[in-house]
Amino acid sequence: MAEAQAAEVQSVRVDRPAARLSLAYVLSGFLAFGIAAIAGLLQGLDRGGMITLPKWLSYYAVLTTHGVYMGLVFTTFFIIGFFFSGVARTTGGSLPPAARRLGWFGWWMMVVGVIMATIEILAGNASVLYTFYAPMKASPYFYIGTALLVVGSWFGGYGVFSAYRAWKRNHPGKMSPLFTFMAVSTMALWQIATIGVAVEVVLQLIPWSFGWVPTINVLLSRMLLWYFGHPLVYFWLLPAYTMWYVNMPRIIGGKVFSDALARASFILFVLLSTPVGFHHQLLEPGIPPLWKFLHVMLTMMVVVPSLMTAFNMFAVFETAGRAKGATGLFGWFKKLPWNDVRFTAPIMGMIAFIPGGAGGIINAGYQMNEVVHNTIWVTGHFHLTVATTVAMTFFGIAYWLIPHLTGRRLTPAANKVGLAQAVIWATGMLLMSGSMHYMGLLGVPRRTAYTTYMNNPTALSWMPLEGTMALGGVLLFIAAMMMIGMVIYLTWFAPKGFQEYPIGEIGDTAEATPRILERWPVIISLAAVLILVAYAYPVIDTMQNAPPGAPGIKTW
Amino acid sequence: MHLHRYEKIWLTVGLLTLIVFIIVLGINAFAMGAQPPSDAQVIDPTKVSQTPPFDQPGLKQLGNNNYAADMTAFVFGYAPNRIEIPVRSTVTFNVTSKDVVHGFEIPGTDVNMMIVPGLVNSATHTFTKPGDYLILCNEYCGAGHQLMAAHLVVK
Amino acid sequence: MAQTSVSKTREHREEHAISLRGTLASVFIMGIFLLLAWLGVFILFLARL
Ligand code: HEM
Ligand SMILES: [Cu+2]
Ligand SMILES: [Cu+2]
Repeated sequence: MAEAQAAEVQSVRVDRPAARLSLAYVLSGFLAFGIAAIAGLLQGLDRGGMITLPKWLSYYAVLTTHGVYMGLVFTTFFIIGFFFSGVARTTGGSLPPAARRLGWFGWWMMVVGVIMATIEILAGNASVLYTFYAPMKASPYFYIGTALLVVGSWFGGYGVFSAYRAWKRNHPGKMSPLFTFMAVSTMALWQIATIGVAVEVVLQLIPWSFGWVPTINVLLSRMLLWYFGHPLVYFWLLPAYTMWYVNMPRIIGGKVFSDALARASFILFVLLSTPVGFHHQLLEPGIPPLWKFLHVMLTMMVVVPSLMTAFNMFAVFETAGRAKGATGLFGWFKKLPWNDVRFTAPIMGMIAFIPGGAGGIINAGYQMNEVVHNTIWVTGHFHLTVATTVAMTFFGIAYWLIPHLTGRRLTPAANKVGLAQAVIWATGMLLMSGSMHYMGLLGVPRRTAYTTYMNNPTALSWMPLEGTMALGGVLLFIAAMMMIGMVIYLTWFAPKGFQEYPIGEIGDTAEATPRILERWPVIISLAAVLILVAYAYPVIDTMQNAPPGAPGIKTW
Repeated sequence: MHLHRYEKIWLTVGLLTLIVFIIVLGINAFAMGAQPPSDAQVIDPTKVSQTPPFDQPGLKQLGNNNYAADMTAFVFGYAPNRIEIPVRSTVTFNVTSKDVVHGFEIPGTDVNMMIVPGLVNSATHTFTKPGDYLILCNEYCGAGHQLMAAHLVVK
Repeated sequence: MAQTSVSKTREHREEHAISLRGTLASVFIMGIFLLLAWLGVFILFLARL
């Protein structure tokens, strides 16, 4: 009886209109990923001294493309597409028409924004990297493009919220499906986070780059950017956590360990991931030490929901393994479906999050930040977290999501290619990120084209490691192209059929979920209070005691 | 909400470890003086060359083995771009930018700070080993960023 | 108070039904790695002061 019910639930299919929307987002994301991977390869080879970029192609235009396309475009498009699919899947298979309209409107806006920004980057008017620090002044159309990308993503979020509201209306008094809840909390976090960058871009950068105002308050612009910058990384991470909590249990033949704890960890992220931005500004003048330290303390607290997640994931794996008869302390490890790419790619990402998380705690270590700040250690760190943990989870999702949406199947052969792809990516990342971490400890700067600082002996001694990094980059590029090949195959060429959209059932030992976890007004108010505590004074201080503003210049 | 007993153990130990990290860092920084660079002096970024001490960037002796290096950062270099000090000197670097955001890093030491236009930042270090130290810019500042460096010679 | 009795029996059942020894061991191995990495860089910081 329960089995039959479960089978019926697993056969729910995302309907055509919702699938088309989701697919538009996911495929645009992968297009950006493919382009950015070419840029990544060029960066690795240039830094390693293996190629010299032609005069017309600046290293920093390439790096801007890579940062914007990987960090902002690939992630945001994929995330919204994934959420639309999962919300449809867990609320009965379709999206309400209003949600779809919002979703398409947002997609178009994002596409237009990306095209605008791309034109300016390629024209050499915006080699300011994806953080566009003032007073380097890019073309106004680059900033407008970025603003459209962000505002478009808001509409994606509104689409998710409207589907959630419709479900709530039809199911009064019931707890929302776990996936939908997670999508809603992540998009809520995104709304809160993007306020900072939206204010910076719209009120500071755009008027200034048009010349309507002569100068800019640089420190304020940086505070606003980093108000956004840390929750940005949780916006990348939480969709991966969603997959781990909700989809993964079904893939390994287990159950969701605890619905309540999963929701609680997401709420903690909504509350704690914004009031921590100064951990990116620890070495900056103009911010009093005690305020920096407050953000460091809050950063340590935002580690807690990740500790919860780690426990939950191991618990899911162990219970599933033991149910299949595993014995001993670690016997369950062998019972996991290692030859299923839907499992293997994400778990490689999970494993990478152990050193990735360790690196994060180190980076946020107040004075310890002096060892690593702006060295290529940091680049190594986020290639573990976002480019391995998040990206490999997204790869794992794509292998079932795309065929589900296109009415095709992940064939055993495609599964094998996927496994090879995952192994090559992981190996490449081990080499690239490993050497980046090591170089960073030696003091090698990030965001820097090939250089020996006029044959400086210290800088020369770094070159072999830059070479290892480049080699890792080559492997990553190969894996990226395999991924693009698989996306094309699964979208247009794989055999027709039904690919399950895996949604885990809640385990029967899981507790009833407390209601407070869905009281949004309470949660959002609490988040606002924490943000005010962490930011109100420093921001007002920076506005009132600002030095004379800085005029913009184009230094590239 | 019910937590498995093992999860309680794990979260308690984890939280305590994080608190220990905070306490260790706090004592080292606030009681022992290892604060990250957080200078609060402001300056008009368009008038750096007219504002003392940056109108005359250079090394100034403050006492026995004690120096101040008042430096400017600009695209794509530092002034002065070469400094010589005797071994076991303590140097306080006071640095500001004449244009965009720069970095100031001496590999092999803890000297690492952001140089933001409109603000002065400072860091102090005692050089106990002789050698040729590289000072480099670790924040992207434009087309010649990879060339932006200075030298510190400890004799 | 039907509610409390339900959660009591649940709790009871859970502690017996699932062995999470492997999970506990795994998270602690992970925790030790985190701690050692942190200590390593902190020591490097002190050495370069
Ligand atoms: C083909 C695979 C990849 C390669 C070869 C690669 C290579 C690189 C290299 C060498 C850099 C550093 C350049 C420098 O600091 O001078 C870099 C920066 C970066 N990468 Fe990747 N990467 C890859 C994939 C990814 C992915 C999947 C993401 C995120 C989803 C990502 C996000 C970033 C970001 C945000 C930066 C920083 C840009 C900046 O500092 O402005 N990369 N990448
Ligand atoms: Cu952060
Ligand atoms: Cu620079």
